[in-house]
Amino acid sequence: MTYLPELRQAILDAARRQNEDAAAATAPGRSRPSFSRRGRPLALLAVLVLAGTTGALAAAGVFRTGTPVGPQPAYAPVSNQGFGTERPGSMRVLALRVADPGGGAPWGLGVFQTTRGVACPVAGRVSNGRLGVLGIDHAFADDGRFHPLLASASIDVACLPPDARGHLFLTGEGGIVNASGDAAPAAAIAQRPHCDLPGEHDWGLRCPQSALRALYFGFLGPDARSVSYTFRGVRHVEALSGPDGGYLVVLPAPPGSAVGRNANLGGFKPGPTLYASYADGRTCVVQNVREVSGPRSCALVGYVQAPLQLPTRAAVATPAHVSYHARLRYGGPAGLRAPGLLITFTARVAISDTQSAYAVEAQGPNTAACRTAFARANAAGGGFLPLEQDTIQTITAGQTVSIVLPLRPLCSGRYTGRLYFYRDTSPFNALPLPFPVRDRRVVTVAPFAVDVP
Amino acid sequence: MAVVDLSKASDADLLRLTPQDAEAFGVFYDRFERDVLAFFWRATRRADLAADLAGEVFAAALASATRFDPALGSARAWLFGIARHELADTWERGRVENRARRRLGIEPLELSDEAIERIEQLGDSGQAAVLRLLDELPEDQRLAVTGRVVQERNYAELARSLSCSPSVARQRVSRGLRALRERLEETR
Repeated sequence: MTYLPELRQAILDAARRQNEDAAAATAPGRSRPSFSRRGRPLALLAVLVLAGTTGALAAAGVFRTGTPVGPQPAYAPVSNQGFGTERPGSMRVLALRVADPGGGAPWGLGVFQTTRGVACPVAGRVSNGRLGVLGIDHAFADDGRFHPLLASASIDVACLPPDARGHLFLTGEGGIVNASGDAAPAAAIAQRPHCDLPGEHDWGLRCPQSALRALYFGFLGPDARSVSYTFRGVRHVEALSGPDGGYLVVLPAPPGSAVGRNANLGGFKPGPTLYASYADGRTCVVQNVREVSGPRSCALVGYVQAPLQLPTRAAVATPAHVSYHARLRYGGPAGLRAPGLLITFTARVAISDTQSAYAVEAQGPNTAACRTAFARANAAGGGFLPLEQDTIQTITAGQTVSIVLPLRPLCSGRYTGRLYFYRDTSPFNALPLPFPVRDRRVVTVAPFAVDVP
Repeated sequence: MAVVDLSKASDADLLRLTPQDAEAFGVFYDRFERDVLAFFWRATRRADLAADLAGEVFAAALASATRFDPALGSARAWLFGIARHELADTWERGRVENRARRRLGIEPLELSDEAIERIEQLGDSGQAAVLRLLDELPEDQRLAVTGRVVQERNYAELARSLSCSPSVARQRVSRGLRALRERLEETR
């Protein structure tokens, strides 16, 4: 336990500044004094010495700092929506350092909490205790600098709520990434290498095999003790780091990765299988936490599901005003304009995290024409939108809330449905999903019926 | 792949690695935060002062991490040497210094109620009773016991601060501790 997390953060920031100042002070090109003819040999010697020092600092993992790696501007996180934004001072870089197969700055793993109660993992190269991306292998125009990863570039579907004891269970993360350390899927594409990773659109320059790494990382929970794998005939057993059993494995990318036959950041098939060993002697294959069946699965050993604690119907019930509009905007300011229902209500129970939300579900008119319209849209490749929508933001009690339910295809007739409150503390739930999820417990807020012309 | 876990590095190695990896000092901080806070809480019995002093000690340690020489003693002894020095300075000046924090650009710390409570709990594990009894000792014995046991000074240093000989200082500590033991037994 840290008694004074603010002091720890301030001291750590000071340590980083101190190291960066030292690196900058010894880097060549910082100042350009004019030298007399007589001074030139000495100046040349000084430059050579300084250049050597810079190389030594780089080898030791201290680089000059470049522009930080932020999120794609259109997807910059918002503190009261979606996963939220980084809770200030919550970033923890684990003490684990893993050597890169090509040498240079090691890899590290971090985790931070967000304003909406999820924890997000971050992996990258480490310089001066910070995670980031190196300006190598086409990244950042090969500027050779260290570009710190902003937490906002790592807020994506890898973020999950911790269990009831506050432990993060997140396994099966990773993929084929660039050796630069570019493993933040939400990072702005312009800052990423302009060579293409496997599985991505081929813009004409594939990242060479030597610049690719197979990255495995995650958190196995407090009961896990080690991960093991066999690579090139040698068995490796790695200890875990931090209170949530963090693991990080960095290997050369599997052969053939450079030609795009392997999957991209979402996962990859070749490569060694990782096994997790637990305090009770169990050993399990490390699987993606989202693909396993439930809290009793081997990937979730030690997971304690939080109690649901649903409010009563009397506590949430409130009138809902539902109206039809021919052109409603949904999906943000740049979103689509489409016919839809606008559901407005005054929330009586607050929503503060990603595990609860208000949602609407509706059924279209039970007419032959409507059934045919849905069947046609389905046959055309899923060209219909589910008649379900959730709020994805923080809501205070007493706040007026609007939910847009797009109607595609649009049917004439009576739509019926309900507005409900739900809570889901299953290990998979991070954000409301546009399809039914397990363990969701709901309480009806208001039923509704509305006629669409 | 080679794996280095800073959490398993020695205290001295953490200080050595600090110029390359700031997180090494973070791990060093984690190892000693509790003890340093407890040290200052025992000495001052004020959570705000303890936090302030701890901030100055870690800032001073960070600023001089590269000068730590393991040949001269353990990192723990080195850190508590800085802590004792800060404490003595504070008594002398009547305020907590912030030289090291100013130099490193560390802003003054604002303590939350929870943080104050956590620090105060450091003294609640049986030590609180001893500290209360310590207050009841005659002044010369109280200063001697505090200097030797709480501030961990050696007798030569203690004698200098009490303006007496080392043997007198030893005698005062011994009497003070005996008195404390007796009073503790009385309270049980």
